[in-house]
Amino acid sequence: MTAEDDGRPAEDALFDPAASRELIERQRDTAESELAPDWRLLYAVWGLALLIGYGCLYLQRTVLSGVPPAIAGVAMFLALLAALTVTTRHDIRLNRGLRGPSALAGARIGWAYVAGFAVVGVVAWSLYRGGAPEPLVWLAFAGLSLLVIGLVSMVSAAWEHERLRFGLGGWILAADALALVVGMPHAYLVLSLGGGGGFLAAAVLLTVRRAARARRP
Amino acid sequence: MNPLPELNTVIHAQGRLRVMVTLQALPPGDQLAFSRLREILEMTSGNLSVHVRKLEEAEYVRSVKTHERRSPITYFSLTTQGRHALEEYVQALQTMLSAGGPASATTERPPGGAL
Repeated sequence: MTAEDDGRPAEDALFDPAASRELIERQRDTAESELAPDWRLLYAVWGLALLIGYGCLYLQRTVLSGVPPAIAGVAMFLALLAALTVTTRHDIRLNRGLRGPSALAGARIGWAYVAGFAVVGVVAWSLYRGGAPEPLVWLAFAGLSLLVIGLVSMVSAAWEHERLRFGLGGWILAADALALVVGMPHAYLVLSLGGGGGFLAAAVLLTVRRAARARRP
Repeated sequence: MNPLPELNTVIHAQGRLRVMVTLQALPPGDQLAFSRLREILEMTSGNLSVHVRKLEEAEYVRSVKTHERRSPITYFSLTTQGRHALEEYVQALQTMLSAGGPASATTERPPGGAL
């Protein structure tokens, strides 16, 4: 172990280089868990939100058609609200006492999502007001929402050289395109399994990678 | 056979090594507040202040004093020199481990540092 000198000149004592390296690796893990976004958590909560939310909408439109549509809508809203709450709490904790370009970039990416979803809402409302059929309005709303998620993910990942997130963004766009092709009500199933499943698969992949790294001698 | 590399004594102390490794985790250009750094390292304020002062003297750590909501706050980041010094330290440690080396191999002069 390296000498702890509390600021006094270090003792030129025998030390264990292996213990020093272990200390460095342990501290790197601690710093990473404190200062880097926990993508496993974020992917998992958004994966569950999309899986449950779109899953409920799909079930209401198909096998559970007796259930009022508002119930499925509320389930979707609560799922998204839960994911948003977890994300916000995570970001507040992460950015405490931290300042600089990356914190600023994170906040701007958040605003890009907010602006994108606001426009999606306006488009859906305009379609509804213009007399578009209800299934088309909901399809546009769901399809454009995933378009925002996929595009912002890909662009931010490209900038940060994050291959997994870039691939996930591409996967989300592919699932979105498929959902638009199959149309309602099966689009909800595609978005639930493809969109939500994509996020959950990414969370599992990161967990496996982390476990493999921890096992490495 | 190559001699064992010398280890930088400024970084060698456990507390300062942990400060350096933690600040190294920040993306370039980012800074970390004293209170958050203390929380992550689970150190007392006095202990952390002493370590940080040593690292500042060696020009491995840069501090910026400012005010937020009328309270004074100090932010820290690694200098380029500090990043290189830590990389060299880790490399030297690795060389020692590869050589199966023991050791009493510290140097009073920080490579590239101004102590």
